[in-house]
Amino acid sequence: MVDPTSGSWPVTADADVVHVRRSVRALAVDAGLGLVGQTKLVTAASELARNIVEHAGGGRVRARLLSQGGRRGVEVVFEDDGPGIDDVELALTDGHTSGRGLGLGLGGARRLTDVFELETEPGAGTRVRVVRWA
Amino acid sequence: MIESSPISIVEIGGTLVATVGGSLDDAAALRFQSDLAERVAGTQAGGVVIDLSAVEIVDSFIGRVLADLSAVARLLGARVIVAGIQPAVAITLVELGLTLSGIETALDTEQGLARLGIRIDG
Amino acid sequence: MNEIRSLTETLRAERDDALSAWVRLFSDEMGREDSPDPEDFEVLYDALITVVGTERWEEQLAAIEAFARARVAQGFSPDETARMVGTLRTVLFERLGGGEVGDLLAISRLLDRVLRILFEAYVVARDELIARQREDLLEVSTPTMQLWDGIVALPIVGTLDSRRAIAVMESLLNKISETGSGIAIIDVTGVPVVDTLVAQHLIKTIAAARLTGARCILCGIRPQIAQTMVELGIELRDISTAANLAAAFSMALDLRGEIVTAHEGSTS
Repeated sequence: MVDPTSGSWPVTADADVVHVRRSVRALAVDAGLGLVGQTKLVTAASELARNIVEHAGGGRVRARLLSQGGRRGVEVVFEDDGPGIDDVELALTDGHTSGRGLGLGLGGARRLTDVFELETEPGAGTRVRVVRWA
Repeated sequence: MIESSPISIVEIGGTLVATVGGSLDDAAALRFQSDLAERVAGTQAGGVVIDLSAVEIVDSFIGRVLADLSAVARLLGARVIVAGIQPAVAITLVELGLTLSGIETALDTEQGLARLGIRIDG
Repeated sequence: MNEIRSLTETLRAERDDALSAWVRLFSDEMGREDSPDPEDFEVLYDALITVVGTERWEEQLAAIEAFARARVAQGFSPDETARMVGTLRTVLFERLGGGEVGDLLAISRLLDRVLRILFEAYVVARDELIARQREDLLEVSTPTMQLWDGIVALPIVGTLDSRRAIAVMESLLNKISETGSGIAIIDVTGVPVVDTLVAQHLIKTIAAARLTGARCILCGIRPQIAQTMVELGIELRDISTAANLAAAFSMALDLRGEIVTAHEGSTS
């Protein structure tokens, strides 16, 4: 029986990113996020999931519905065992990129979400947690 | 499973109209970029309208593809207009930091074509 | 632990009696003619039984918070709800009167905690209600209107904080999309202060509108504000400006003229 309030998906290739987008969108709709909120969250999830594919060679995305003191939201966690981020400040700066993107992914994801937590250690992987409230 | 997103490219009076379907994975976006470049060169098109009205998510990768695509088309002698970006997408793009300031925009395909001098008779 | 167990048993055994006594006492104290909904009382009572027996507050927390939210939504005052707890305390003390002082203290402490949870939940629920009403007000106070075929105008009046700025942006973009307008006039005559933050919001709004295919004209920037903006280093490059709404409208018509000409088949 599939739990509609949470999910967990491996992310290793392009197609997985699309799947993450779709799944996060479904949760966002369930949580009652408006269209703009949904779009912002799904776009942030797309950026972060792609980072896993591009920089870590694979990882996992977990998402679930949140309910806190009367308000609802969606939490999405991105985890990988990749090389980690050496300079977090730099990575969060717009325009900095070590890949084929525009370098807006990490900072952008932070601006698009209400909660943005980043844990990383060079050589020990990265974990990003985001939340968007309805 | 990779779901292919249908991107149709139609020629109307020396202009190409590319309509992008809903879900675009990175690989499909890159394919689109090269396909379109070939079509522009092949048809010697003077203009390209890219219709994004069915696209719900535009992230920094797609944004980059659009920017590159525009630049390539311009080098090939075509003017590019991106049409139909939805309000929620526009708001998100700006928050992401992508203003696509070097790319012309239009409300929809019809207005995009009008800008290129082509009027569709009803 | 023996005392607590018997307390739970007592609460359970006395449930029906205690409940009806409680409802009666509450109605008397509040001077109500109509009998309140017994379900409300049962919710609290049962939550209390569970907590006394297991000390597991988390599960009961949700029930108590939901109870408080419902009271707010129904328009009950905090005093009424607090009285519910007070009268329960009286009723239980009467029933446990002959027993252990420890039991009475335990009950009293638990009820105090319930009161604190109720209070907090009440405040949160009220804040949410106010926030929702504020949202509704926001919608009314950021009206984008259609001035002409293809031209919309957004007169902004008052200070532009983050929340308002976001509402303004969405309102404008949705209107542009709905009406298929190519030109949006943003009138800031009524905005008293344009600092860096406000300027950033405006720039974002204009950038987003451009992405959807509309062209923006900013008008109504007052001289002192223009000065401040220049001093702050805020340059609105690539953004069309006009002195006032009339000038902006005139500019918009000219722009539309261009678009109309292109429509008639001239090549770029």
